[in-house]
Amino acid sequence: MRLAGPRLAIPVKLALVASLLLLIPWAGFRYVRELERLLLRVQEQGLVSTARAVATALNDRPNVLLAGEVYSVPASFERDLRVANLEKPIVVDGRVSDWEQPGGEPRVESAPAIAGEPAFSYRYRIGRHGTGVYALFEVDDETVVLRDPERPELGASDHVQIAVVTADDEFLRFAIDAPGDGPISAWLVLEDGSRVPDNRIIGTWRTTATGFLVELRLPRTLIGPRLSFAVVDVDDPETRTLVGQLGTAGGTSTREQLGTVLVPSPEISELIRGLGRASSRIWVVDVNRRVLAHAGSLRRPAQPPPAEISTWDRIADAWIQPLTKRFLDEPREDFEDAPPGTYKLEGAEVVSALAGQEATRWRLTPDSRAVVLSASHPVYVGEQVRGAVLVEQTTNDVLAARNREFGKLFAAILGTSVLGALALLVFASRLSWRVHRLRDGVEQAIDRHGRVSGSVPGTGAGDEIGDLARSFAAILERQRQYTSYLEQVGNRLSHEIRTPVGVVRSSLDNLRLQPLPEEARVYIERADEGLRRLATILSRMSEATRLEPGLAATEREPYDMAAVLRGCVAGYRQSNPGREIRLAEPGGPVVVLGSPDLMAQLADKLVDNALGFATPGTPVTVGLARHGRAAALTVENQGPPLPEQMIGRLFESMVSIRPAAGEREPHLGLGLYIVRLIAAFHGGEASARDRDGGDGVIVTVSIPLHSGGVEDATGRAAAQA
Amino acid sequence: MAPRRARAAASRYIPGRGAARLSRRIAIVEDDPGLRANYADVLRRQGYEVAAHADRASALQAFRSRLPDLAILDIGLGDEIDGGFTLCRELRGLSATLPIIFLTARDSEFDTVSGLRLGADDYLTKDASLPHLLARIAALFRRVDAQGSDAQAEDAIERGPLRIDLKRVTASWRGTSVDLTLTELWIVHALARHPGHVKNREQLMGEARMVVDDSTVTSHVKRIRRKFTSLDAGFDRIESVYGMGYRWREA
Repeated sequence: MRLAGPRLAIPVKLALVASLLLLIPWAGFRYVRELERLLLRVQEQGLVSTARAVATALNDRPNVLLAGEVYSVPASFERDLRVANLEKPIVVDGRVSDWEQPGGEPRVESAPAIAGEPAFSYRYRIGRHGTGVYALFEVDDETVVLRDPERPELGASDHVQIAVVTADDEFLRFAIDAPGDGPISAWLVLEDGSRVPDNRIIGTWRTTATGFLVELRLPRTLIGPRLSFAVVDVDDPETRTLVGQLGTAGGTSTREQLGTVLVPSPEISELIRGLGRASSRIWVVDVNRRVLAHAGSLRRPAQPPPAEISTWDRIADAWIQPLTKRFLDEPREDFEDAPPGTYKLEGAEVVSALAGQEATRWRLTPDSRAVVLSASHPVYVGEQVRGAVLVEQTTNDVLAARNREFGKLFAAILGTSVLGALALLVFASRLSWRVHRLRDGVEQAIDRHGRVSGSVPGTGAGDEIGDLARSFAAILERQRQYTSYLEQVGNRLSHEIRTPVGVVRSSLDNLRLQPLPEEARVYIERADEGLRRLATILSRMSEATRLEPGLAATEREPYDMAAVLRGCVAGYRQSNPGREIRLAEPGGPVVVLGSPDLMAQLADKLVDNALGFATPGTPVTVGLARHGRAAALTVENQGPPLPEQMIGRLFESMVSIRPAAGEREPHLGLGLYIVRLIAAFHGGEASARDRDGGDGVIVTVSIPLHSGGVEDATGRAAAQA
Repeated sequence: MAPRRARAAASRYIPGRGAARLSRRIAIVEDDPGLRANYADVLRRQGYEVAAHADRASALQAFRSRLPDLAILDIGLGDEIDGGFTLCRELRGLSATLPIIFLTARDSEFDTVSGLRLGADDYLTKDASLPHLLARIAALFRRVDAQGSDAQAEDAIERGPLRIDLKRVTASWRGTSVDLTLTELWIVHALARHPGHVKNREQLMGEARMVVDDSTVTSHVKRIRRKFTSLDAGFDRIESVYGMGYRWREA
């Protein structure tokens, strides 16, 4: 019995239901996202706290920041001259090597080439250490023109100009030239253009392969809020005309042309270096957003691999990480960052902090590879905002933590899901197997003739399927009892009727012995005839049921079916003169295992049926053929076809398709039932169908051939006969 | 059953000849009153003395006081489904030679075999007509009479090792008595009388004075063969001609 529509097996349905388990990883993913958001908020708060702490440390310490004038001068960044704090001392010896330290990076000034003249550029470094401010100029100059004692005037040779506004607001101009390599000192240029030696500024001049190099030391006290350098190039030793002048600010001639000098106090650097944390960066800016100091790096230090790698970690690395990478960004440290020489900060949070309002900002690195979180806080001197602190950190720590957690969660969920799914699958398969077994058991318990021949499996189980099996078993038992009752009813009837028949018969016999008038004898004969028919009915009714227990006791022997059929057909021809009974048999013996007597009885029933149904004058054909490993006995007659509704039931007990009227011989429908029993005894089966064309019926009994030889069969037959 | 026959001389009952017929006493144990009365009537009319019993208890009581010359038993007696079998066993305990006929409605192979194993001389279904029954009774009495006399058998046929004495109602194979029931004896006789001739089932039924179906004949023949082969493993004289019947084969 198949239902229409899509048919889903129990395991498939359970798998569909179990697919809801996939919601668990999804929920876990949501959970981890939420966790990440929380962690980022915590990180934000942490950064704000750090910024506040740094700012608090800087509050009300003006000397730690910058000298006063810087704050009042509107920043013109082009003129700003930043003086780095150098950690290591500088020896004024004309060598560059001692500048190779933080803050000692070269800066470049260059001028585009003027027509006919080569380009002019130089690199300079400036830094502070202790009480001195040091500067080094590397000038590219094809023709170095030194100071000529003959023409000593200023401007007649390559030289460096320095202009400062001191802390006492005094405007001073210096010039440095040299007669050759070696220690030098500066000239103080007076207002009238004359010059006097001034030993406050000392240095070293050295001619190099590409030009010349000047290293200078200025006393810290000399330098106030403003400072400018300029390098003046003279190329023609004859004319000594000025070819180019290139400075760090607008010029060195007037006070206004000078640039602002920024000399961060070493305390700031010390302070924030102490506050700096791993993988975070702290900036301190002035009101003009100029960077006064910074410390730390956004990049996290490389994680040393753990000394001991557990099996679990190896599994996680091999299986979980590739999965988590599909869903989550992996934090990476190769992002693009602001260059180390960044001088001015532009972020909105800086602007906000300088307006007195602490702020936070999220931004992507320019290459979008990392997210940077920054928090700012204003620095106060008195009531006035004098700067800001900016603390930056990437979210990589949080991302790494998130990924780690997600990996663990994912592994746990995956593990339990797989286990759960497997358990469900096993359970469902077993359930399905049991239902299948029950179905097959029930289907096989009833053979196609409706007899209960087997038992239902799985009746011992305590659950619902067990209940089902038990109720099937109960139904089958009732069915078996009913079938058995139907099969026994004939026997019982015949048994019960036989005694009254005996009474009638003995009474008639007694009567016959009495002197009776002749006309009375007619009635006795008629009663006798009725009794004879009644007796035939009784014996036929019990024939089938008597046969069954007999079958169990009958021994099977190999015999030649063809020989039995030949004998039978000869007998039928003898007892049915005037009827044509044909026999079609294959050559040679057809050996089967069973009982020849029963086979003869089977043939009797089939031929009797065929003769009964055959159209008068038409032959009945008995055929025997070998089909593979089976012998097929067919009995064929012309006549009415089988009634359609009866085809499946012909071989059942007490099913008859003969017309009831006009029959001398009683028919109980037991003949084909006996055929079936005998066929089954031979391990074969019987079937009936209409002849092609529908003008008759063919009954076929197929019986497996005996594997033993003919000799065996004939030998046994001879011994038995 | 052979030892039982051997004890015949020790039997209490020694029939006289001639007047015996008048003094024969037949017991009928049958629970159906109509049937019982009919059988009793016809037997009385034949000159037998009849004692009819309705149940096992009264029959046994009567048998203990006086044994009949022949007993006709039904198997189902009132509430006792197998009362006839029990009675047969008890009767055999009282007399080893008393002829016993089962006359019953039960025609299953199992019942037939059970009844004959208990020592019954014949097993008839109630389909049997009265003349048939009377013929059997007469034959059985003849057998009893013959056992007591030394008279040379006249009505006998010999077919090789087989010898059938219809007068004494006995058969022997190679000189050994074959313990056949009356029906079986008549079947063997019918076959052996015309060796090589096929007797179909109807003919055999007629000869054996019984009304049974084909398969009953088949099982009778089967039992006959078994009895002969138990004496002579090489016995193959009764040949099946499938679809037609059986024939006696000369050696």
